[in-house]
Amino acid sequence: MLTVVTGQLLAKKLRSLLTVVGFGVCVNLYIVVTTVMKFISEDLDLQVQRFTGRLMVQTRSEPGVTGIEWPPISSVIPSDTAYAILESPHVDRLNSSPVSFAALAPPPFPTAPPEALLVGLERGRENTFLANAPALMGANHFSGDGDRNQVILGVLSARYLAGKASATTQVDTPIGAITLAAVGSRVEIRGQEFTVAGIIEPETNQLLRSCVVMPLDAAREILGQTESVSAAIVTPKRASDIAPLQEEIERRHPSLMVVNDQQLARNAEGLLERTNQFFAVIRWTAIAVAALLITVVMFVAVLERTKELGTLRAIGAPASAIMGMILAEALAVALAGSALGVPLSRLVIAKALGPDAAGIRNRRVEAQSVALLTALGLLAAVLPAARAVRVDPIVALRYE
Amino acid sequence: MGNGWKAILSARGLSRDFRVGDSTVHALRDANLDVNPGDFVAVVGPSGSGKSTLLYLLGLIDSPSRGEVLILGKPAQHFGRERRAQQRLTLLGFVFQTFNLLQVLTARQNIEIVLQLAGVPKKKRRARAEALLEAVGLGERMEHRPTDLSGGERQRVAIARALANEPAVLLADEPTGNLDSQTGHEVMSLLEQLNRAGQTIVMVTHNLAMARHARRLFVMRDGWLEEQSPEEMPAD
Repeated sequence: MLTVVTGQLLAKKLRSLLTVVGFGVCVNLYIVVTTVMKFISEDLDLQVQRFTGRLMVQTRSEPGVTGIEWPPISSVIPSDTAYAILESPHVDRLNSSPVSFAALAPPPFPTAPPEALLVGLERGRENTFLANAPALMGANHFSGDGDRNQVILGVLSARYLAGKASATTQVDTPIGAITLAAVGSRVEIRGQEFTVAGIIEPETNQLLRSCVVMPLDAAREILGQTESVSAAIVTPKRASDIAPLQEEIERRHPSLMVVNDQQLARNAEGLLERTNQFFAVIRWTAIAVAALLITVVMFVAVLERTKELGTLRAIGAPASAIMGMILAEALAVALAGSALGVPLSRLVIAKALGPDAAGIRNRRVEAQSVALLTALGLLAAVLPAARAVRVDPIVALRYE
Repeated sequence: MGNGWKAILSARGLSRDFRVGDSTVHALRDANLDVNPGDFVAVVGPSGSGKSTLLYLLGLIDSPSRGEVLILGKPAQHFGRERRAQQRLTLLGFVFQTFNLLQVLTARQNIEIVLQLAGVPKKKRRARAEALLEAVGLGERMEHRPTDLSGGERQRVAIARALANEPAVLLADEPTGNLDSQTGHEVMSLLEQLNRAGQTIVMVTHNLAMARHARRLFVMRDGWLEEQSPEEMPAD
């Protein structure tokens, strides 16, 4: 019967091709949306994990439509206040720092931080933000040679700044080679030149891939923050200090709010929920279109082949063989569509997320998506197959 | 009429009515027939006389309004759809007026599919299909699709397909109806040859000249079936 299935598909080449392409586009859409959902969710989790045990002191604001602003780019607190907070006996001063944030480039996609995010930190306090993230090249801390104008870049910001760098380097990623500002090169940021001290390993999170970490004094100078910083990153000495410290800061400074990892996690959850609702609509649309496509095409095929199906029944083909033949055709279309949709989705993801896609391990998503859509494609073919089984050989032979 | 106990295929009081609007058309009325091993039966009659209806009832493609069909002495009226399909596949072979070959398959594949449905292993299928096509004189046309074959060749493929599972009876519905006279006689010669080799055949036709190739003749008029002895056979 497989010969018949192949023969039928080849006999209607254009229709088969269009159905395969249609199904492939649905598979592609499903994989892309699922992968992006998974990527955003995992990335926000990683951001929360890296922030565990720390507090972000920032300007008090009502959560907007996207929740608490993260990172708090628009927050402004007097630098005296920031330093006063860090002098508290509950604060681990070596792992705490005032911080200046600024967007140097727009975000690559909604929910992402800016593609290049300036982060000014006290020299020697880089890990209050980097949280010991390893370096891909160079160092994950500033060198002690007294050069004030140093930067540690993420992969995204290094790519973004490659055009303004005195030297570049090529890095191989699963999506192909990308050009980055080279370690040791000079890059121009807001009219000043900085030496690239290192590039952070890309498999961290979106915040670290986008960061442009520089000494706080340099950051405040290029941002014109003479009397202020954006926020303060505070590490309590002990876990038991977190709650009293949070309470103490908010009591003493009513205009400030203190965000801990749990609030950040809730914030991320709320953000994800809204994003996922939108993505779910796209996913269900892809599923519905794929199923409808198979149903309609197989129904048309069955109606066109009444004589053939009737003949097969007349010469003794059992119902199971007819059913199997129609389902096998649907399966062939679904598998061919998947064979097209999977590589297409890889291309789309690489284009949409750029170097971020390098960190995505989506084989499982691909396999699950293909399995789900193929199963639904088969389910959608059951109705036409049942219609094919019911073809009365007498009616089919009267076609003569 | 032959002896019922040894008949391969029998009709007992077989009738078929069709509802057409408010009226009933009696396509077949109280037909009785025994097909014995080695018979070559021709049922002749004008278009609309009920010949094809009789053939489809004997072939378990249709169900009678009254009466019964017996296959190897067993009544078939209680067989379900799948049992009927199984009987058609293994005991009966069909040849249709318009050949009814699957257009997407080659001549060989058209035969192999029937063998596949009967569960014959792949290697045996191929050998059997090739042997059958050789037997009907199409050894050189095995890999051609129906659209690349002449009408006579297509009907030969259809006959080979009908013989694939070595059926007890070959049922042929106007096998020469779509062929010119010479090709029609060639196909009939093939059927005669098969019958001489022991194949039981039941054929319906409106063409008396073709019917003369058979050993037994039945005439169908307005749904009534009547056997005629060779002496009673009309001259034309």
